[in-house]
This record gives sequence, C-alpha cells and structure tokens, in this order.
Amino acid sequence: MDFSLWIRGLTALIQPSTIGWLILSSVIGYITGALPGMGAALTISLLIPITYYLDPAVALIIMGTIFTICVYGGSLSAILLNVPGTAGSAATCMDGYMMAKNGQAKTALGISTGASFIGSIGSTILLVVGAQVLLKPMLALGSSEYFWITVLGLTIIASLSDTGMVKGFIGGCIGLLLSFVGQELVTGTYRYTFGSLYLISGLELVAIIIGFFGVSEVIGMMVGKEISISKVNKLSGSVWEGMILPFKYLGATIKSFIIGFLVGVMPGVGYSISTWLAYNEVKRTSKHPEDFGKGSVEGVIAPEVSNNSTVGGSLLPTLLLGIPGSDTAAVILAGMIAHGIMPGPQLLSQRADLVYTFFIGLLVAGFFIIIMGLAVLPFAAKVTVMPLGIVAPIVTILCFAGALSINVSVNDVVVVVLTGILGYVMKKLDYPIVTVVLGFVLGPIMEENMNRAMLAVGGSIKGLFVSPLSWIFIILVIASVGQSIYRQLKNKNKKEALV
Amino acid sequence: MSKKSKAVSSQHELYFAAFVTILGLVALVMAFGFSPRARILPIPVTLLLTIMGLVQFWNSWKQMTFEKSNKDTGISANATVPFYRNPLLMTIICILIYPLLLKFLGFIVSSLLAMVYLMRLRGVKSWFTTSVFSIITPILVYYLFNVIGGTNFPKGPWGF
Repeated sequence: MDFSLWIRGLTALIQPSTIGWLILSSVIGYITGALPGMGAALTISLLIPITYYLDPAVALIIMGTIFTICVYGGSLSAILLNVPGTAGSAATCMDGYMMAKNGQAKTALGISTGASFIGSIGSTILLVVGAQVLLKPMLALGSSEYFWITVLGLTIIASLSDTGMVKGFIGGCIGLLLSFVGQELVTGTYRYTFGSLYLISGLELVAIIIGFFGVSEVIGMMVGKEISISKVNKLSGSVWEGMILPFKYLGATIKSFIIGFLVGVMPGVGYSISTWLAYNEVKRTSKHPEDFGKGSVEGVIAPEVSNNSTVGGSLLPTLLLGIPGSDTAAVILAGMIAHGIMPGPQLLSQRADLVYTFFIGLLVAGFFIIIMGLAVLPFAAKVTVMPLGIVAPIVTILCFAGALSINVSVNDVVVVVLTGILGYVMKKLDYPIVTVVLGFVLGPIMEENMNRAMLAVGGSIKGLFVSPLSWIFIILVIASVGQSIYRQLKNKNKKEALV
Repeated sequence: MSKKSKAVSSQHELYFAAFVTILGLVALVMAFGFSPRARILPIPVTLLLTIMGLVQFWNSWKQMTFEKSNKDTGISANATVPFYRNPLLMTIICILIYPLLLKFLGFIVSSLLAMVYLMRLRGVKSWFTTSVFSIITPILVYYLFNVIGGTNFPKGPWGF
C-alpha cells in the first residue's frame, strides 16, 4: 500500500475550505436524510450543479459525505416519528420507534449512531482493501471485456428488479435510447435529433439525473398524502449508552455488517433490501426473537449497521467497474462523469490521489456520524416535521436552478421537466427508474468500448467475441437473464396454483 | 390497494406499455436510417424495447381482463374532481409552464410565482408563510448560482 497517497489525500482534505464543505455537507446530509421524501439520491442530484464550481476532489468528498450521513439521518425520523427518512431506515421503525415509545428515544438514537459509525468505517476499510485487491485483475480487462461487463451490469440490475425483469429491461432500454440521442462520435451520424440543434450534443447527464430523481420525486410529494406522524415528544434515555450497545451485541453487528456490504456490492440492489435481510437474519439467530418488534436493541442495530455498510459495498463496483451498486451510487457515478472523472480500474491507477482523497473523506464522514448524533440531533429533530407543502416547492426551484446551471439553457429545464414526468409515471407503475439512469450512464461507455474492440479487429463485430474472458461475461449475462426468467416462471406457477 | 385502484392501475399499465411499444417501434424504424456503424447498438436496444413493451402490454391486458371478469370497472378514482383541483394535473401544468415563464419573466419572478402556486396547491394556508418562503427561496438560489457561482440565470424585463 502506498502511504504517500494517504498523505496526499489527507493534505487535500485538511484545507479549511474542504473542511467547511465537509461540515456543511454533513449537516445537509443529516437533515435531508431525516426529512421523509428526500434521501441521498435526490440530495446529491440537487447538489451536483453546485459542485461544478469546486475542485473534483471536493465534489467527490461532498457526494460521499452526503451519501454516508444521509443514510444515517434516515434513522432520526424512523425512531422519533415512525416514518423512515430513507428506504434504508424502514426496518429501523420496527424497533427504534418502539424503544422511543418505551421512553428510550435517546438510547435508540445512540444505537443508530454507534451502529452507523461501525457500518460506515468498516465498509470504507473493506472498500479500500477490495479496491486494492481487485485492481490488478481489473486492469487486465480489455475493451471487449469491459463492453460485456457493462451489459452484465445492466442485465443484473434489470433482472434483480423487485417489480420484474420486463420492467427492469424496459427501463434500461429507455435509458440507453436516451443516451443515443445526439451526434455519434465515430461516424458523425445524427441520431434521434429531429433536426434540433440542441439535441446534436446529446442530452445532459445532470438534467436526466435531476429529472428522474428530483422532479419525479417533487411530483410525488405534491400529490402524496401528508405523512401521518406519531411524534415522540419526550426525548429520554442516553445517547452515550446507546452508542456502546452495538459493541456489546457484537454478533448481531458483525452479521449485519457482512450482509450489508455483500448486498451493497451486488449491482442495483441497495440498502432497501440489505436492511431487511440483516433484520431477519439477526432475528432468526437471536436469543430473544420474541422481543423483535417490541423495542429490541438488536432490531435497531441490524438495519443501522447494514444500511451504512451497504454504502461502502455499493461504491466498490462503482469505482472499479463504473457499475453502481445502488441508486445513490448511480447518482454519484453520474456526478463523477459530470466532473470528467471516468470510473473504472484506470481511475484507481491513474488518479489514485483523487480516489484516496475520496476514501479519506468517507472515513472522516464516518466520524461525523458521531458528531451529528451528539451535536445536531436536537435541531434536526425539529426539521423532520417540516410540511411537504414547503419542502416540495423549494426542491422544485432547486431542480430548475440545477438544470439552468448546466448551460443556462431553458431547453435543459424542458428536459428536466419531461424526464421528471416520465420518471413519475414510471415510478407510479413500479418501473425501477434506476435502470433508466444506469442505461443512460452506461450507454456511451458501452458504445465506446464496443467501437474500440471492433477497431482492434478491423471494424468487425467479431472483436466483441474474440477474447476468452469475454465469453465468461457473455455466459454470466445469459445466466443472469436465464435465472430471472426461471424465477418469474416459478412465481407465475405459484400464483396460478393459488388461484 | 383497492379493487378499483388496481383496475385503474392496470389500465395505466396498459397505456404505458402501448407507449413503450410504439416508442420502441418508431426508434427501431429510425435506427435503420442511420449509417451501418452508428446503428449497431440502437437496433438491438430498440428491438428489445419493442419486444419488452409487447410482453408488458400482454401482461397488463391479461391482468385487466382478469379484474374485469371480477365485475370491477376501471373508473378513474378522480373522476368527480374538477381538473383545476387535481393536484397531479395542476403540478404538471405548472412545471410545464415554468420554462415559458422563465424566458419572459426571468428566474426570480417565475420561481416566485411557481412557489406561490405550488405551496397553495399543496395546502399551505398561511399567506405569510407562503410569501416568506416564495420570496426568500428564489433570491437565495439566485444569489448562490449567480453571484457566488457566476452563472447568468435568465433575467426579466426588470433586470433580475
């Protein structure tokens, strides 16, 4: 391990302005994490345009910090209001809110602080080790293998979609189709531009991200019911005492950590699944499973460790392969590309200083969890009751401002509005919009590698099939689709048997 | 989900699947017009989109027929609500009009108007709260991007 990289990363981090951004993004992450309806993906997509004015390393730190702290912040409203701030805190409601009702609100918040800290620091360490170990084999991959890896990433995410493979594939294809808009780089052909000058340069990635994650969410907030809150008025118990408990229940902590990290590494799965898996596993192996749902300490530890360990896990394929492990990782990937940082093994070998600054930023963000838990908690608790009638219009204006900041073009605002409406409709009909964004992000990467692989054999499509390693990925693509079809047929047969 | 809303949802699923199929088909036909090199990826992607759209259309059709056979009518849940009170429709109209307003009124005024409308639509009753947030938010955002960030947001006839 090259320690000079750590020192360079640390030097970049200890600049006063960087520390200022770190603190600010921690507070923003904590508050937006606690605000039901916001979440990390939406917050980061709104902040990408602001990070344009900053150094790419600082932009990476801001995105990583918001991801880490936002996931933790979700537990605040889950415990105090019985409303998960983020999808990763839904399982925390089960026992966290019950603890709060039983007069142990601060203890529950302390548990979530300690558990999130362990999940965050541990997963960052594993992320660093994983990146180190996997870098060499990844560097050996050529264009054709990389083409098939991007195809594999898309098929896995589409196949693992909760709402079925067909909807996952439709989302991915729509994303790819949107990425084809504009002038094709090798031949100069105009694709789907309809004679518009604006469309020749293609659709803006940031506009797509803001549309699908921002505006679609705003429309949902505008038409959704005001969240019914069962507020815990008296904050009793001890945060400190709670923070130590994840260390006492080490078995539950370790199990949840491993589950969270491994699920995070799987493309497109994310913490909405890892938390429930960890919760169920810890409940299954607990000495007191009967306490779950009634305010069990382990019931708070499991989701809170696993959601933060998913953060590090989901960033591993994002950085190494350019294939995100979750929707928020997809937004971070888009943010990186918007800053001219192309994720992949080359990034780790050629821009290692940048990556190590990001790693250090994530580690520091882990420590900021504790600071947030102790210092900002009383104020943040008040913000969580902000009505959607105020939040939704503010987010709308931020979305429009973000779109305008790309090129100061009203056309970008139109793209944001139209993709937002499409995103809302897709979400309402249970289409996974993360596949659309991923298709849009991976489309150009896929095409670039395909062109390179073809050029290597004189422009023939055979270039994609000559390497034996490519065949391994092709088999994996077929296997992931086959497995998904098998699973759907099995579910269908089960349903028919029930009818 | 109630039977009625399930039926409405299946109907919407059917419409969206039809939209996806048509989109895929049109894009596929257009892709054949590109140069051979530029259509290598668009053709399989749009073909897959069309096929998946058809599969989804078939699934939704079957689902809808099943629900209808259970004597359930797909009446829209909001059939009795006048269009100007439909929050979904009015939100969409508001955000569609916003880019037009932006050209003529500039960022601050059009954002202020959009905020006032959206806040009232979402049920904020106090005019004081509405005014405070609708004035402060656009000005703060304008200051952040224009003054600190150096981006020139559209200005209205008033110079801001």
